Amino acid sequence: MLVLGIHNNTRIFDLAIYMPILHGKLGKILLWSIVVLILFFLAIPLFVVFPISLSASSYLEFPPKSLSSQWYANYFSSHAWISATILSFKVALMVMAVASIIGTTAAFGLNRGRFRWKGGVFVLILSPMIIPTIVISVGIYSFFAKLGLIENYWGLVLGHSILATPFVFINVFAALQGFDRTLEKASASLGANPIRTFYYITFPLIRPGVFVGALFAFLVSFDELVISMWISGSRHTLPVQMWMDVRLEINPTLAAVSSLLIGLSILTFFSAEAVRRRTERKYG
Amino acid sequence: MRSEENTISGAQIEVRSLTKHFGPVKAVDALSFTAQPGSFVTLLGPSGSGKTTTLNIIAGFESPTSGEVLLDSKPITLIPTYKRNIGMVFQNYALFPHMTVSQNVAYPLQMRSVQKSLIHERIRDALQMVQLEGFEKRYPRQLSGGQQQRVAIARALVFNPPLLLMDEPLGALDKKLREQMQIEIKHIQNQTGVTVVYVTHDQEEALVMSDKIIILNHGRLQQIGNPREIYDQPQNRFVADFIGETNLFEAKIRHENSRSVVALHELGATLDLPVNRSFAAGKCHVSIRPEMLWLENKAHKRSGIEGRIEELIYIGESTKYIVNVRNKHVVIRHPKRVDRGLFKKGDQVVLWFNIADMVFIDGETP
Repeated sequence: MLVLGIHNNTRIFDLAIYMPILHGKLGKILLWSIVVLILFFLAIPLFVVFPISLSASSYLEFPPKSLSSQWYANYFSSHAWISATILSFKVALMVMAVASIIGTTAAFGLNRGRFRWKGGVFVLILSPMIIPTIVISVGIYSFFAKLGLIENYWGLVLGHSILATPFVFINVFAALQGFDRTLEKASASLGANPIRTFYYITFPLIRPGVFVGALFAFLVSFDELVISMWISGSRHTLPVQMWMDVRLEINPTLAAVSSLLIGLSILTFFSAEAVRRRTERKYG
Repeated sequence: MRSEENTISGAQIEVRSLTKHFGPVKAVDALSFTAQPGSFVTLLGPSGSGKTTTLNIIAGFESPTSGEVLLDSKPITLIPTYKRNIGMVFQNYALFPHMTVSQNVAYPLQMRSVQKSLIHERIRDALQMVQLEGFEKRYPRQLSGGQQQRVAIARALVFNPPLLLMDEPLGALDKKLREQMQIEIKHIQNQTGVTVVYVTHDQEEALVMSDKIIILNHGRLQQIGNPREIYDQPQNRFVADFIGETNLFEAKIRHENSRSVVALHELGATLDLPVNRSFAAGKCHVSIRPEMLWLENKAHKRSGIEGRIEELIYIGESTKYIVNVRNKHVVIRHPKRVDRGLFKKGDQVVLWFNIADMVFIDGETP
């Protein structure tokens, strides 16, 4: 996921430059078989989960003997599932906003500021990506308990934002590195004050980075299980609900939910990619 | 072409003992100059001479450590860039990549809340001025370097600023296009009457375009003058050497009886100086341009400064000779009209020049 925002100019055939063996017809076949194999390997869960979700059986059955949409119907009619989904959406949208603002401002600060310990601050902002989530969770749990943020909407938002901010930060930071600051000087010389310059010039040009970062922030929160398990209490987010379901009564509703989740992720990913391509086409 | 009523009058810009320190480095050191309304003034110097810093201070991107900038006698040093109403053209054009040509040109007008109907008209006039009609809908990346530069000029002039700053605007273009744009920029300047402060490190460009040239080195003013003065009467060795090509010799002037003589010991020559000018006795330097020297075959002349042709470079319109005179290299340039290819590498030759073509540069001692 991280790769998308940073090395967004790498194309698969660039690899051929580094591997002379991949030239020629045989090479092309070899390259494609490897690529297809890797893609298949990555997509295996989908090939298993999606058929199970359509099964008529009440057990996890693969391949399904007969088809039915009952597990999807079950999901949409279940109060527990739907309220968990709504909570997850609410949290993820708020996390998207919080992480976008904090991540973007942090990226501006580190890109433009002149201060000591810049490298240190950089690592600090990225640390939630490096430190195991379980360690963060324990810390958050004991700290939030004192603040009364357990089983609380804002507690979840804050907890998830810690994990999501680095994704926004790194995407916006990369966008700012590629931003030519002469454009801001030009804008000023043409009569635009700093706020207008940001609104008309700087932000439109780094918007793809902010946008992709925000999508990742959404997904990080929507996917998040470990922190949520510690602090969500009886108000389950969707991943927590899924986890509980696995532990208590395994049935294909889980597979239906998983399929929907995968669908959502794919949609998000492709829209991020579409934004990137559109900007690339437009401004080269 | 632009109609007469659109003609704008340029402003006077005055820089007063401007100084800028970057840490221990004096990027600009007590620089003063004035650009008259409607004139074309060039800041010329090698990289690190402070010319771009000076321009940035006039534009408002940097604040001076001390000194003042006055636009039509009003100090502007404390006014932020966006309120200065000064046009600027950048070396890399700095066009907004997410806007079309017409959006780029409209930008300064929108910032000034000009009426929509007027904006349209002004864009058309501005693009006509730089001969880019029909490119309104293009994005900058769809234009060539020269076209991008034209858009940048149109954008910087569309709001009729009284002063236009240009920071090496032609640096990224190839030689032919650069020469064409030099003429065009001059043409546009004459049409609009805008005062231009131009930065370049290209001395030829400065000579071609400027009414006044300000030569800087290490942040210090070296000389101010029109192109002819700068080329013909350089005031110090730096200017003589930086502008065009020249031969510099150590010289010593002394008075003997009622006449003055100059000894050029590197050439082993002592020459009488004209009596109608007075010369201060002492050490100095003499600059003689390559095109002011000529060669003759040694067999034809009995006396003179003798040397041997060490290198012969055919340039087309002229031929350049590097002649070894007592182990000092002297550069001589023969225009095609006088050079008939009679000299070869290794020939023994005699060097000639008119005494009036020697430029005496005082003050500096090696």
